[in-house]
Amino acid sequence: MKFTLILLALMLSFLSFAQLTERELQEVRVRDSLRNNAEKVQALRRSAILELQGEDVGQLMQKFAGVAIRSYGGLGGLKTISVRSLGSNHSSIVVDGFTLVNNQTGQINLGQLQTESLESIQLITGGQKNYLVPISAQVSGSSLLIETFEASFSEHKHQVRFSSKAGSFGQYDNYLSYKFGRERLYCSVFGKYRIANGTYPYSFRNGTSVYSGERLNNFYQDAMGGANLGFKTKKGGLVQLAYRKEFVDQELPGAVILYSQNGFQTLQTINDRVQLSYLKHLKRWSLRAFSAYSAMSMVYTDSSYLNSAGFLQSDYSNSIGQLGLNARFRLKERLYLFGGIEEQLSMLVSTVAGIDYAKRAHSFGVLGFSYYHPIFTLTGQFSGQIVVEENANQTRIPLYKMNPFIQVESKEIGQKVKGQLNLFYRNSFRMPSFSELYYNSIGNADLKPEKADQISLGKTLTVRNPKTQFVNRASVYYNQVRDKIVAIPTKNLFVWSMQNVGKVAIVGFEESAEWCYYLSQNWSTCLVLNYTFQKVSDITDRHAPTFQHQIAYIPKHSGNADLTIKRKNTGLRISNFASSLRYSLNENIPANQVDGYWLTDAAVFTKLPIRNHDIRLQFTVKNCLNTSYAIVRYYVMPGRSFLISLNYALK
Amino acid sequence: MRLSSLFVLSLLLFACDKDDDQPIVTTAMDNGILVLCEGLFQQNNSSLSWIDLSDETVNTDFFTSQNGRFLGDTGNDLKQYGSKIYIIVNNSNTVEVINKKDGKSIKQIPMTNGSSGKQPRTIAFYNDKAFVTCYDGFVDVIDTTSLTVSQRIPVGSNPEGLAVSNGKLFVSNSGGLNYPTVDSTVSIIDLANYTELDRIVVGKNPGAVQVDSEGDVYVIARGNYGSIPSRMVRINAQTNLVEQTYSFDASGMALMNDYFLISFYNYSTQTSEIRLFNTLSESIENNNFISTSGLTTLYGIQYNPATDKIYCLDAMNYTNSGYVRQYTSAGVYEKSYHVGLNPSKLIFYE
Repeated sequence: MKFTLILLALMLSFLSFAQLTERELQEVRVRDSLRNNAEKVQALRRSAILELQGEDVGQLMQKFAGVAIRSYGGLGGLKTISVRSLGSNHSSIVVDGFTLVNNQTGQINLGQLQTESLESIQLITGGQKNYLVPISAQVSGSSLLIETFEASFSEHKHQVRFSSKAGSFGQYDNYLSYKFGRERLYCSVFGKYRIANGTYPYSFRNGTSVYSGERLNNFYQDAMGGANLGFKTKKGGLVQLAYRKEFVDQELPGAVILYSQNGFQTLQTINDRVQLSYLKHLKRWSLRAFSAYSAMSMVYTDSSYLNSAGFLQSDYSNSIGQLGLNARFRLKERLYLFGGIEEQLSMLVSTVAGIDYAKRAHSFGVLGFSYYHPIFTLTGQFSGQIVVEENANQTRIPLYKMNPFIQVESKEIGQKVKGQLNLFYRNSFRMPSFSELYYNSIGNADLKPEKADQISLGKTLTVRNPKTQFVNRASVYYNQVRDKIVAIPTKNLFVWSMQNVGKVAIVGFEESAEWCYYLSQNWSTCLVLNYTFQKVSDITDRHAPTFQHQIAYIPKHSGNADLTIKRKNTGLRISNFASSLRYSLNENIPANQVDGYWLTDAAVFTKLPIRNHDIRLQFTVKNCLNTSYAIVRYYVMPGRSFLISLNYALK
Repeated sequence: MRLSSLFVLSLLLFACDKDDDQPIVTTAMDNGILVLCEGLFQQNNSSLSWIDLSDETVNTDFFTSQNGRFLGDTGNDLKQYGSKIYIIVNNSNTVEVINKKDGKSIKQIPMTNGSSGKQPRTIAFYNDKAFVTCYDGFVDVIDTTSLTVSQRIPVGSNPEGLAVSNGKLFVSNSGGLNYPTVDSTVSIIDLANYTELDRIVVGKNPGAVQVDSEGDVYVIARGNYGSIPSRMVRINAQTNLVEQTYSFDASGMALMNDYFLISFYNYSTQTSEIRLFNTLSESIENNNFISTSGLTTLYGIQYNPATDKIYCLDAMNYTNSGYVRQYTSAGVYEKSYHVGLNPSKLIFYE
């Protein structure tokens, strides 16, 4: 209580000492690609990203409806998302127009995607609004489009972004970026370093008693840097080139094991990535060609492994090449054709038996159309994929698959209140990862791809007037996942193997509302609410004890309630996230229950704009109520923590 | 003021933190079966189920209800010695000693070496000592009165099963964590001075060890889960020599008077087999002694001499709670009890 009073006093004092500036509700920096669908898709933009002070993209994704996050905790720790319960491997992550690929695990760790340079994050569940995103993203179940400051044009000659953060559990975070811009050119360099000892106290219920301890082996540090160059040619082409390098050094704390210390594992990762893209808009054509190469090496160690060496070390090295071509063509005034091809070549070399060598060539092709009728837009696409792969022991039978997608969107109707409807059907699949196929005795080289079908009906309502801005989105959907890849023990309890055994039915409902109101010249308030309902049932076997039980780790109910109050340049944001109980296994019995939780973060911030300089200070209290919770059972999350952040921007 | 009301409101919302103390129920422990359920690795959900045979009820949360806390992560073995019951909790690195009368903990013996765990696996007894295989390459000697580790006997890598016969301790060295180059030996320890007398080759990846009514020692060499099958091997406890390797598939052995019930679960076909092995004639009497059609995943088998019943432990798909299935000694199915996750060991109460 005492703490709450102090916090309250602090917030009120910030409010009363607010600085003066023009009325501003939301820093709307809608980028070209966003402009088309600013309100029809869920998105977070820079001002909201700054207010939330998420440590990574994973944390920010919790603010989206229809997203279930799987987080193993800690700075940089593994975070993945499952969009509309299809599973994380069904979502593509696209950063500045390039799909991130990891065929070893099939998952991109959102805990290692930084937030400082983010301009926007969009979650696309239906059709892509921008037909120039890579084909690999166009054919996946959903995609996350991320755009950064470094890879964009600007009207300012010199732009600087700097941020420095200090937080609980020994966390320090520094980021510096400089961008030189001209009308036809941008050139940027950036660097980032963050560190945390991650030693936080925890306690949870152990029967009727309380088990408490300190999270150990949770040190994390990473450093990354890169450069971007973009220019427009005299003939109107746009060339973009980027390079980035990352070093990650992390300890893996593992699950808290009762009565025993756990967590003797470490992981070191080095990533290099270079990417090049060329974009050109002609009279009737839009074309984009791109290529990227990334190399990732990882070293995993376990000093507690009781083999003869007394130590386990596994080295992995991944190289991935991407090449793609996208095109859009105006056939008639209302009819556009679009399509493209993409080739991903990946190779994994490791010291682990079975997965010591694996190669995959994954080809994608899409052909589609959009017909813009005065009252609706009809989009259809047909995609084809070919996957050829081999490992040291075998060459897999080549895989050929065709998948349709169709969407009807009504035209926006209404004057004061604008409304729109959207209906889509998507059929997609995800490939098994190299680990699922070949890892030691766990892998199963006979795995088939995991298939997904989605039918979704959505509506958008918007109200925009000088006093109010209101957006309401709602969707109902029915999805099915077939040949779901799950791990089951096949040799003994310690030797599990991957099998295509599951079938899952997903009935979902999402509702989100953003309401901003300008109270007066100085005061404004914004309320963001969303709610997700998902009944995700195991329908594999009518006679199994888990038939129609909720799939593990998907909450039936989850939602956000965020309130921002601003006076001139100073404001307060109270951010809430709640999740209903989940089950750690598919059998919905009390022994498997993982408690639901409610998290409240509170932030006070103030901006000091001095001509071209923007200085922004924020004090954030995360998990204000010190809730003890875990997203994955026994991966305990931190209690109340504090973060002070300074952001500086030279426009 | 608006802000403060908001905060007060949110505090009220969270004030009702779950703190619902459950009453601890003490059940009279007679005429029943105590079941060790392994749980799943790294989920801290190993448990004891208590089957009350008088009213056919099952308390699947027995350890917690008697002790107010969870048992821990991955319970591997459960055995009674005198008035105490010893539970080997592998991944929690503890030996939980409970009172046979009421299931209350007498002592939780830590099985750690500095900060690292010894990963205890199975337990056997001789005179006033308990012997516990530890995956770090030792057999720990626990004094059954003081309940402390008095000595560590070095053996082979990742020792698994153990049994006492003829004043000697037979310990299977699995070497499982060196897969695919696993161990294939059994260490023979002289119980007079706790030194290793001999180390004999029995076959790849030895696991369970069982002594028959005549003192012969049988070991399951589990092979490589592929081209090398899982086989039962007989050791002469007098000569310390391997006498025979049997040609049938075997993954577990349970003593039933002068017989072994030999269980085998075939992971690739997902079918189970239960054979009847005569330990006097040292040969198979029935390759299909119990019909396993009602079993999903045979995870263990035990015989209760007092009631003359056989119990098959069914782990279902390992992630769903399991069953203890009761059969007559002739192998005729009678009934099932729904217990916790992955039931693996039983203790019978009269």
